[in-house]
Amino acid sequence: MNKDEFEQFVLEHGKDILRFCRMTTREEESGNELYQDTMLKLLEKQRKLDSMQNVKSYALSISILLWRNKKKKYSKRKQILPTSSLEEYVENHEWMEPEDNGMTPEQQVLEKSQVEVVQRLVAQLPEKYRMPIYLSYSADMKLEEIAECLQIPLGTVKTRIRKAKSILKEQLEAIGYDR
Amino acid sequence: MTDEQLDQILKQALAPEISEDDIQVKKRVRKKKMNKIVKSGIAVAACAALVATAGVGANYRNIISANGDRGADSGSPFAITAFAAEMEQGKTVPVILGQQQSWVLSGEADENTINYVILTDFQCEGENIDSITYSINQGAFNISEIPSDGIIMDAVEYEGEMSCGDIGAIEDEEGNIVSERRWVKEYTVSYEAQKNDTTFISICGEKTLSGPVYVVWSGNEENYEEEARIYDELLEGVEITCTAHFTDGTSASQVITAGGQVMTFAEAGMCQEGEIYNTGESGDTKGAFFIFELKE
Repeated sequence: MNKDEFEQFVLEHGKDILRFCRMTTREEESGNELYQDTMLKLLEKQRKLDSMQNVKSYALSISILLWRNKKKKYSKRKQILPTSSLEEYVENHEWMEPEDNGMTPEQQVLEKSQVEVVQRLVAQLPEKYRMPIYLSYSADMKLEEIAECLQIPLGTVKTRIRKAKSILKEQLEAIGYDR
Repeated sequence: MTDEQLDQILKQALAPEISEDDIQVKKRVRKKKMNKIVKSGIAVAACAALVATAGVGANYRNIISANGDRGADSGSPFAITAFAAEMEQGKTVPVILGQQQSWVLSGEADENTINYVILTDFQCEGENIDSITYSINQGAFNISEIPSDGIIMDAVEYEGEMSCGDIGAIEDEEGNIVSERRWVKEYTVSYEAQKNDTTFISICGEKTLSGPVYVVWSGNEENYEEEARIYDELLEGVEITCTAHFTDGTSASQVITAGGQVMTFAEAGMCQEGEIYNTGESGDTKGAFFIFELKE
């Protein structure tokens, strides 16, 4: 892979990889750092990349390896939600104060913090369920690519994603997402 | 909640927009820790010529038997040179000071830790050698080369962090990479292309020494005995394994150690007509040198 091809790769897949890095580290700055480290590693191996069938999958596996090796470094600011329960989270946030817009606090939670709440719930999943979810939704990887990236059988990927979704569904319904 | 609804919720939460600017790869150079003291080995201009002219590779032929079998004798089936001097058992080869920095030491004035980067110039010579792999047991190799003009065929990256030897890319004003630098634990070059003018390979590492190291920073040339002892301690235990891979699939290895030694500039081969190159000083002047030698 030459310089132009590498730049093309970044244009095509950089957003997916950066999104995955930010989700994995749970913080923008740390995610950016992990992304840059991943790309630098990829640059170091640039000349070997031609023979690789799926460079994106390889890049994401580098991200995972770097993150596991340096979890402490990348997770130093990882707490997007430092509290332990949704109730506590809601109570501690100023934006949860009732506003004169006709919405209940619960509706406000659903409207204003849906993204953060879902991110938090995914982040609390065990790693074996969390990674396939991030790879699928943040990195836009197909199931076969996730299997390649994580070096696990395709059937295992399907099972883990199914299980992860089942857990998330249950938790979201418990806080009123089905209403 | 339906599966479709959950799918939509996850997409919304886990796939936020990313701007084009954010994905730009910043080919940053990780700066080494700023140390208060840096000392480097750089010297006389004419030394490059010296490196280029010395002879190489007589010994290996003596240990290949008449029928071509290798390894039956006590010696190795290939010869190694460092700075163009052939390495032999019991003979040290100094790191020659040249136009480029041959070594750099850095550290804190009030600490005993020294970071080192020491240029290597190894080459192998033998018959039917396909490629050569070098590996190091402590620290790493710091490789600097132009990506389009590199000689490194394969390498095992060094995964740790060190405060010595820069890594990353150097770009010119137009954004072209003029040098790519990295740490590796092991690298392989082909026999036919073992070196070029743009690839520089050093050993680098850091070590906390047993005693005060101010002598290294003092600049007092009379302290060469103590300085050489410190060099020796700094590189104690460093072993570079050089493995020649032959065309018939066999391989053979030799181990190179590193250290420090007092010798005269004449002994180091840095003199012409009895004087140190371009200085007018006597070749009998002693100094502390970094050295390589074959492990017995």
